[in-house]
Amino acid sequence: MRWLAGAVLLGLSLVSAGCGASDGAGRGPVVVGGAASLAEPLSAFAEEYELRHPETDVQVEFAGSDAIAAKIRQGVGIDVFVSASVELAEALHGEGLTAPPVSIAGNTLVVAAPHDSPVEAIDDLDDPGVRLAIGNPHVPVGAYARIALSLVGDAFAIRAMENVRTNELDARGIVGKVSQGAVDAGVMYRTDAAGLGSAVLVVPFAPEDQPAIRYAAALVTDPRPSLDAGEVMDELTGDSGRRFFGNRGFTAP
Amino acid sequence: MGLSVRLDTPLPAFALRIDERVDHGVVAVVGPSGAGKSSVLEMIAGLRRAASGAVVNDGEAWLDTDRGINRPPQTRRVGYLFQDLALFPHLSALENVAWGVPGSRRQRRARAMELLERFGTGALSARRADRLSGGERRRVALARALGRDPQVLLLDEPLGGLDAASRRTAIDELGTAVDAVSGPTLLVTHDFADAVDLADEVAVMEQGRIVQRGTPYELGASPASRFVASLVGANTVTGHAARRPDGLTAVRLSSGTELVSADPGAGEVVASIFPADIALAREGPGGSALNAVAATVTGVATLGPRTRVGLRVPEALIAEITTVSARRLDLRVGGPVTAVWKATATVLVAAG
Amino acid sequence: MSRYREAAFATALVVALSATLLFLLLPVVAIFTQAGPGELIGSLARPEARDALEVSLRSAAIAMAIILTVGTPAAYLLATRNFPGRELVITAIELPIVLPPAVAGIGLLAAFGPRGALGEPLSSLGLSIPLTSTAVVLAMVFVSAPLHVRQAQAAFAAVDPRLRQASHTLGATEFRWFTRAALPLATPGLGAGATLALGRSLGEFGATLMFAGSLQGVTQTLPLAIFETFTTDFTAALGLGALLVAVSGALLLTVKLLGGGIGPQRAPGYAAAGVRAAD
Repeated sequence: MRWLAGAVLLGLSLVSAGCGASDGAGRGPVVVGGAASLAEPLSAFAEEYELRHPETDVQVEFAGSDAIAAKIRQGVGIDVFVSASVELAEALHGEGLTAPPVSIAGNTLVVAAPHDSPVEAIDDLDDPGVRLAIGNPHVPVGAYARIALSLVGDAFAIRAMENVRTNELDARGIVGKVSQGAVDAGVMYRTDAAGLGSAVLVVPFAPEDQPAIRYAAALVTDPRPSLDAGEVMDELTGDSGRRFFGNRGFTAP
Repeated sequence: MGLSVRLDTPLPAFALRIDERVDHGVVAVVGPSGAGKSSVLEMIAGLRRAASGAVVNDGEAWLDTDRGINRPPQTRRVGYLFQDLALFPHLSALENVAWGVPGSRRQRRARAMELLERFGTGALSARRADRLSGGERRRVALARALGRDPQVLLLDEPLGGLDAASRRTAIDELGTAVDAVSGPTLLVTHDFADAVDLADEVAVMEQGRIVQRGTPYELGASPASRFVASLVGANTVTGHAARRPDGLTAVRLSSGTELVSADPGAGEVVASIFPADIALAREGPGGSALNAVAATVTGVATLGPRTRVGLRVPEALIAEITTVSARRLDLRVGGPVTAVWKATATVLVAAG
Repeated sequence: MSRYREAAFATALVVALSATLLFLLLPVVAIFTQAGPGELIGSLARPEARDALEVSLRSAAIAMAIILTVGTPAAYLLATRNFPGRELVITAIELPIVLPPAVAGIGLLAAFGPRGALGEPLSSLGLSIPLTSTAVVLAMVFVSAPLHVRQAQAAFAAVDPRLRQASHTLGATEFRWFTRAALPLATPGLGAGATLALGRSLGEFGATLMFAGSLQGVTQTLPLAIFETFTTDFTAALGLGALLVAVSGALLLTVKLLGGGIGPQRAPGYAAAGVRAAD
């Protein structure tokens, strides 16, 4: 069996050499894995960072924060984790996978409804027959939605949850279902709803019903981070990095 | 009564243009591959479109392009034996035969069984077609072709690729099928010998046209062209004919060799001599009514009692003699010999 | 010299096959070595897994019924008739094979969504397709039907046209020929097409997510459940993955056995080559 493992490894190293996955000098790209709701600010940040640091290649990939966390747990080459949930980032830190997380921005939760929808207020979400899209319980946007609905009222939350037609994998999925009119309403971040423009009616949850939404960034330490990754992390959490969030409607951490 | 076929339709290399009647009996269309023979069968059966023409059987138009008639193959009562037999490989012999039989399921099975037994294959009725031997498949295919009680039987190369032993059996089986059909049988073959064994009448096809039609004997005795002469198996050589004082015709070949024929002729002609009419001798006998031509042996092939001898006079000829004679002459390749035949055996055909 | 070359070539062929097999089997084997029978049974005990399995099997069964009953005759027509634009039609049918799942999802929304091309007539009938079990089936049909149609077309085209002519001269209708001869003769190829389509249906993920969403017991298929579980519980996801591999493998094997796809008579060329190689 050992020759077999050897053959597989040899083959894989040939493939990765061909693809330039490792250039031997230890200066690979810095991969930032971010919550789907951060697609816009993180892309803008990476673009500007590369302008100022032409020697560094910053790659950004987006998914539900839970999916990125799962990848980090599997050791899939992500260097900087930007989570929509501080708890999730703390959990990874607790598992010894990342450095302590740093809060970088906040957000609020809204209900977005297409204009022809029967939903005009939060109260309408539990009306019979309303079709609702939220995130699944593992992805932060879904966990926040469940908190917000129960803050409105427990009985209300149970009835509203019965109207759920899809538990999306990430924040973008909810946006897509609302923009296509596939549902009557979706529970999403304010920043995502803003991206839908005037095509939807946006109703924020009342301040007392808002869950605490905090984004946190953490440097992945297992495997050991590169110098470049540390620099990206520093800039992202510094003043210049936070600018990208404040500009786009995110709240202060 | 009978089948009349008039077709005028372009094929890739030439136009198919025939106008023939077949009243009864078996007519063989003979010609080289690619002469358009199979297309004729397909157009009669409705498997291939004819640009223009008419196929009328017993006064019933199956095809008449002038009147816009082109009946689908299902309504043309033909029994078609395909060259590759085209049995349904996944069905039993019985199911194959029953495919074309009309009536209730029971009637169809009974009739199919009866047909299989007529060809001695009743015991194979349950066997899948792809598990049958070549001979068994042919019998089942013949039984199947008779299943819908056809008015015309069409056979495509029915003896193609058979060895000498199976050939005799196949000829008998085909005879059984022909007798079972009320109307005429049309078969196509590239081999004149097949036509001789199976057909009452032969139509020779060349480049989409029937160039001569007659009994096998008539074709051999007076071929209409060099093509027909060589198709029926005769040697053909070209030469210049001139009348001799004794009333016979002299044919001077380009090599200078002179043949004599009892046929009248003048100018460019083709002389046709059957191999079996040529005898071989060590020395030429006298006699002006005889051809006696000095030749060189180029090859000797013995098949049982008959031996075919290749000759050069210097034009190439083939003689077919008894093996006994061949032994007696002690023929050697390259050795000299004299080819001898009667003037009446040299048939003259107009050149061209 | 040429003997060496022949030997080297034969070795290269064996190495290529071994590498292919190794690479394709490794991830599958890894699922089972990391998720033992315990995880497999454990994953079946989870209600969301059972729901997802049921949604997957039920939707795939309906999708296959649609694909086979509509796609098979369509493939027969394409294989046996020539008509103007036939090549275009074939290309159009094959197009979904090369479409990324995201495009398939968007396309289905654009066609059947409330804002889509058929949105008005559908909603006037009181029908809303996205995020329903119908949407799951439609997504499966859209991505899998081309695989079956393509394979079925090749299978029908491979049936000797002489046999059809023979059937016609024997007076049989086209319907009889199709049902009693063309279908049985094309069965191995049809089975292969159905196998591919079924595998693709069971594995469908992207278009389903976009068009049908993900709701346990309604639209959440096994692949969606695997992805959702993967984010929180890798071991459980492995268990679900093993379940999907086992179910798909068993279904594919069944279809192949029923369709005669596996059997010694199917590969005479290989058998002969094997005999020679053993000399």
